[in-house]
Amino acid sequence: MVFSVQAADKLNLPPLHHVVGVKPSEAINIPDVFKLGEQQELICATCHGLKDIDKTPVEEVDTDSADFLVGGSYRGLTGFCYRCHDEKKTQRDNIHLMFDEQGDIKKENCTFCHEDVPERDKAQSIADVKLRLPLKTICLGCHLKDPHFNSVEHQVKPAQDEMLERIEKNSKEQGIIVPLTDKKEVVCVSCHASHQYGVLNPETPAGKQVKTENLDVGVDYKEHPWNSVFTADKALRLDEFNQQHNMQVKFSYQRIVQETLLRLPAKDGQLCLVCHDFKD
Amino acid sequence: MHWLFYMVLFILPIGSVTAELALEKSMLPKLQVIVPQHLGSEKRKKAETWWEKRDQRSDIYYPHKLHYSVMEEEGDSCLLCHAFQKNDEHNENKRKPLNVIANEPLMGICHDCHVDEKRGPWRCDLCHDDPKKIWPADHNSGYIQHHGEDSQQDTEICETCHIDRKFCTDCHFRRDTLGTGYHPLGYINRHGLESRMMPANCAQCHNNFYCKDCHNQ
Repeated sequence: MVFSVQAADKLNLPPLHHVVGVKPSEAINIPDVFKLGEQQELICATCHGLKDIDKTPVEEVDTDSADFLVGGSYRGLTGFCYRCHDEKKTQRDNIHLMFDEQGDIKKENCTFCHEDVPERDKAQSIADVKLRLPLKTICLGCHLKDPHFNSVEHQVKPAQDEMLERIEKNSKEQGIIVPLTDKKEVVCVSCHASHQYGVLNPETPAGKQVKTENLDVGVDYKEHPWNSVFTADKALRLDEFNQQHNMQVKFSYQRIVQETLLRLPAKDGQLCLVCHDFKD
Repeated sequence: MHWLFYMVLFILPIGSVTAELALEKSMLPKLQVIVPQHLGSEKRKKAETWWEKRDQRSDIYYPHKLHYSVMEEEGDSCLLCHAFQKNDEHNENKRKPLNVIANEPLMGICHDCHVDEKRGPWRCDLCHDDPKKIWPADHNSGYIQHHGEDSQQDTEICETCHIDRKFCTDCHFRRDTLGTGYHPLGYINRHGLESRMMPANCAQCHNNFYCKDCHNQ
């Protein structure tokens, strides 16, 4: 049910901002600390604790403030979303789980990314498999651009031509493909295999990848004594960062037990060394 | 006679400074300097990222390939130092500095193996080609004349760099030069008293064999 809220219409909201001026359905559980408008509609103060945020230009809003999001600070934005939205109900199926109980490929999953279900056993180019979006953005409908550290830093064209030559040489030697964009940019699928092991023939470069025993679990870690060394090395810098931004960020080191949807193992460095090399 | 007085006044300090420099030079550990391959004289572009800045630093050298075998042996990988962990911060202004913190290993990580646990080679010059680039500012001028005050208070900070006690004993155990001994002249005649009262002090430099060499005769 949408209310016409004139004030909200005039607001210059940032892209992807949550809609305002609507009355939440009964399925949405609004905590008492989240103030609603006179007609029980969503207003600025429902989510934001900053005074007069509706009168403040977007670029001047203090997003570092603990009061920027009511009840904050939040370590992850989704933590804030789940204050009202039910986490389980809002989750979607993992489309990378591509085999059904009979071991057949769930073809409806293919069409999340492909316009048509590609012919599995026919060697095809990227153009042939008709992706719904360019290689650079195909993952971003479900995943963020920065789901893990170093992801954004990697999504560029390698600064040196010799790295591109190395990628070509090493990927051939390793029997894998490392897809790059037309502009030779590294993208998510350069390192990550988007298909469950076995969907593509593992004997082919497109299908060769790390075999993940339990894709439901995803990446799995275990505690490691190096954690104390790692956290100590970061402590001083993190303290400064946390003081500056009024946050409580903590880092830890855990050793990877299970890798998920990778073209080569990263836990022993094989994947990294397809692109990276050192003089000594 | 005045000229003689002024000459002595000027020459003595010069002489002592020369002697000090010579002494300092002779007392420095003999370092086999390894010049990192990446430190060429070629003109470099301005470093923007942390790894480019690190690559252009001359005070620290990290040979990646030399670590491959030990990483394989211990079941580790690049991720040990360069974290690819889950990121929950999507504000660029915060994510970027966090990314640098997560990915740039500093002294704590290197020194854990090479200094604290000594599981890796622990010669400073393997990674630091010139001690002058990393030593504290107070070492820059005449520190050798005053180091005794600091070392007698707390050797822990000295041992951050001077890991091997040989750094001390190379000079202090010398018998061919006057003035380098730790103990005052004639101390051998009265060391028994202190060795009984504060044996821990002796043990900072001497082990049992040092005592037995004489006392077993």
